[in-house]
Amino acid sequence: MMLLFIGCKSENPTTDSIVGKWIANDGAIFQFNKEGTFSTQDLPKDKFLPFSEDFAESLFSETGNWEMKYEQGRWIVSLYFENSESLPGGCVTQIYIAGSKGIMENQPPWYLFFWEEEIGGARYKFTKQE
Amino acid sequence: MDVGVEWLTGTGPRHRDFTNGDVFTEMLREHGHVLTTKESIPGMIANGKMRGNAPYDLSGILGVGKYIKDYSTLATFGVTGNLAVTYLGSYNLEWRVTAVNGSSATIQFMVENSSTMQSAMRPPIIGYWPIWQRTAGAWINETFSSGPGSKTSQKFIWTDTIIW
Repeated sequence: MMLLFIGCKSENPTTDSIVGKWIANDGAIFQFNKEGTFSTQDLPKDKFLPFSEDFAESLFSETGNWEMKYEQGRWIVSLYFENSESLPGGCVTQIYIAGSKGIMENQPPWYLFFWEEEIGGARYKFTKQE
Repeated sequence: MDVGVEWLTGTGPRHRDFTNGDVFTEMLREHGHVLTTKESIPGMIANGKMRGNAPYDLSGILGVGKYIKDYSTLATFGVTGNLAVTYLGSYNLEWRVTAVNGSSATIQFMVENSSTMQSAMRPPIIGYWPIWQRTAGAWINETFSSGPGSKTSQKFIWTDTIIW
């Protein structure tokens, strides 16, 4: 019964939940700013960028704009990478928001993740630095 | 169909590539998610974005309804749903613009898929939790690490023209 109760008690992440610095285990960084911009440091291209074989470097550090959305039953952060010398034509992608608690992963503390390979497989996680 | 039989029986190549004109690719191209993504690309180009990821994701609460729709293909012998997506389940659709000519653009799409027993037996919602992957999922994959039901992969690359 307790489990069911926890599962039903849902919370939604807010933009304030996302604003801040997020770090992955391997040191990759997302910095989300309040005015809707973000910057990254040392993100692995093969996990984040479509057609990643187009790029010679294995890690990338870029900037762009972000917005929170609820899509396909999950909260996500849409990422709009700017056109740059190392990322010509920019890129549109997303990172998932999940709760560390709750049956539906719908209770904070929140973390961000990409699916490492297939959807439903291992997660490449970012935790927020307070 | 052949791909599914190969995976289930452990026969045939462990990897297959598909492109324009292949039945599997043509079915996938007709999936609603692919069509919706295609429709969104002119807007992306207008905003200077020339590549993107568009996951079709069954992991959330809305995945249950999509499961039912996608798997209804089997019950209705293909009348409803999309047989390619019944096989793939969730997939990440990658796209990049390869040429823009006035009000049309050539787009390359790619989907990479792994077929494992874990992904085939993954239930909605809980099958996407980390704990499932570490426990039941890991056990299933270990049990089917070779032979029938062992991992196969598919890569779909096709091009499309979008006019706006």
